Amino acid sequence: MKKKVDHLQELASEYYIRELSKEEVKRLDEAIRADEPGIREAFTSAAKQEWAMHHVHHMDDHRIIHFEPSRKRMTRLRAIAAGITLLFSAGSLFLLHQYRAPHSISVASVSECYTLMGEAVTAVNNGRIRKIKKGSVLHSSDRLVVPRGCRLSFNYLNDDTKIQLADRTEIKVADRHGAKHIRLLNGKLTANVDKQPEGKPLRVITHDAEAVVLGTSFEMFSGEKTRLAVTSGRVRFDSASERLSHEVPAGSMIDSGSWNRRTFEIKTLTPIKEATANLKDRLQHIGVDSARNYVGLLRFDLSSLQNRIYEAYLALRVSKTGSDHQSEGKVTLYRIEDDENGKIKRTAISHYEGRVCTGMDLVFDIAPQDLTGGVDSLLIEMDGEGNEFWFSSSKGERPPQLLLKTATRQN
Amino acid sequence: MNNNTEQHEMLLRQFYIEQGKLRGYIFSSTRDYHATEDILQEVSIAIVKDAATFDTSRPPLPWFMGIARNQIYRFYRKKARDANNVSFEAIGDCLPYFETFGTEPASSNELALKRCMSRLPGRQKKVMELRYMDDMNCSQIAHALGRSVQSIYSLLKRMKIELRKCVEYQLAGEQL
Repeated sequence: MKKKVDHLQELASEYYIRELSKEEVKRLDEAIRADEPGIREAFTSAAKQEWAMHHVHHMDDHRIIHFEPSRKRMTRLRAIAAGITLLFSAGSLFLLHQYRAPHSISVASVSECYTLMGEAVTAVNNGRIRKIKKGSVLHSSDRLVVPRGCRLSFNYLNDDTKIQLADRTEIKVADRHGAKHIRLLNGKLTANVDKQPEGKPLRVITHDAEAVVLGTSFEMFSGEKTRLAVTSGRVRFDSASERLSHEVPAGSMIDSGSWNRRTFEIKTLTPIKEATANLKDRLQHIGVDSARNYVGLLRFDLSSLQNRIYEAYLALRVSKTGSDHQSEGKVTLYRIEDDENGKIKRTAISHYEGRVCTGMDLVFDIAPQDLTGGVDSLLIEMDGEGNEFWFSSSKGERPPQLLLKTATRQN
Repeated sequence: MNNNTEQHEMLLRQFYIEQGKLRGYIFSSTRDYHATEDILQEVSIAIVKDAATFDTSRPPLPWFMGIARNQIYRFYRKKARDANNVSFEAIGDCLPYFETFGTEPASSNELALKRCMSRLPGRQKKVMELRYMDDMNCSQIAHALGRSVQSIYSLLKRMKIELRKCVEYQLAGEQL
């Protein structure tokens, strides 16, 4: 009997250290539910000890929400409640007091913050939410949320390291004894990393991989898997679950999971033809509007590309025209081609739904297999109701760009 | 609006009261310190956001736990791995023991633990840092230090027992 109890208590303690087998978890689960002697105490006390060990190591980060039974705490909570109520019920900007977390280390300053009207880039730290704008200081343990259509860049305070965050990206920044740590929870970041002090590399950690950087430029995307693309220098890419570590040199990319390293180059194509159907003037713009039947047309010549395309994006700069500063709607990007009967065949290859504002770069992700490799004609159309979208043409402030990450010859 | 505010306040007050239990519930499910704190934050935000939909005739803790469970499922989906955790029912049975889980301010317990850890020999301290500061699992630590995974399990287990004894000794000394 005692032997069984000891074994179960040991399992309870090991549950927090190693991956138990399914049978062991089942045994532990049954013991807890059956309330075997001392098992619940052992299980919870092991949890508390394990948590305390982590907590003691991260105490200096001030990342724990201590909901102390004080009037001050309740006042803070009410402030959050009020802010979030405004955000979600009024659908407008929520304005919370600029807050500097006590004792948290300042790590970076925001150099660019682009937001759509009614949206906000926010930082959450120690249970508090604050709105981020150009010039805001970021603190260790800030969790940054960049909503759809927004973008953010920040520079570290102690060197020239610059990080850019794409829309729909969520990260956490932390200072670990002078080393820069970024947890990429979702989305995409681009980094230009200054030379880092010895023994204190910049680390970008995702759910399944980690990039360790001493000084370089790279892009990292975290979704179902993590993709790292290095543009200069070298980055060490480690698997979170396997004993795998790769040195990724400039011009190479690697995905977690497959761990095959491939070399790449970035090509930027501008359209060989661009127009707005049913609109003859305003050549500086490409218009998309359902009410007036404006449809954007772009044609790109990919015939000179010999190598495989890994990633493709169409980037369109939203331009200001007349009194239109902001628009909303759903637009679909189609590839068009003649079918065997000579009729025009449209294939939807990407879409965007939401608001756009002047100055925003609307980026459509395109699956490489949706490009033919010859001359590709793309059509942008608004579905149903919505306000007009205007994009800069090649004659405007920034031409439409088809950004391609392609294999190099040796691949 | 007033009713909404009152409801928010009531729910946040309850959230504060139940926070230890929730933290224990989430940590036992994820076994991930950072994820636990993130999920706890998400729960507090969701409570405020969805306060208007809460049926006040019902106890709030099961509602909080439901929100936490959704976030935990999301965490596992994102990690793309099998949860392999003790069931939510079993963890739910342990809730009374989680009452004060991580809600005390820097306690003498934590300070004693910190003191005890600072006295660990160099190699053990390294393992401790890799595990708790760099959030590495046992396989990663074994890989980093060129040792077997089993030896890291054993070392961690032994260290935790020693640390528990050391903390008890320190706290007993304070009381004398």
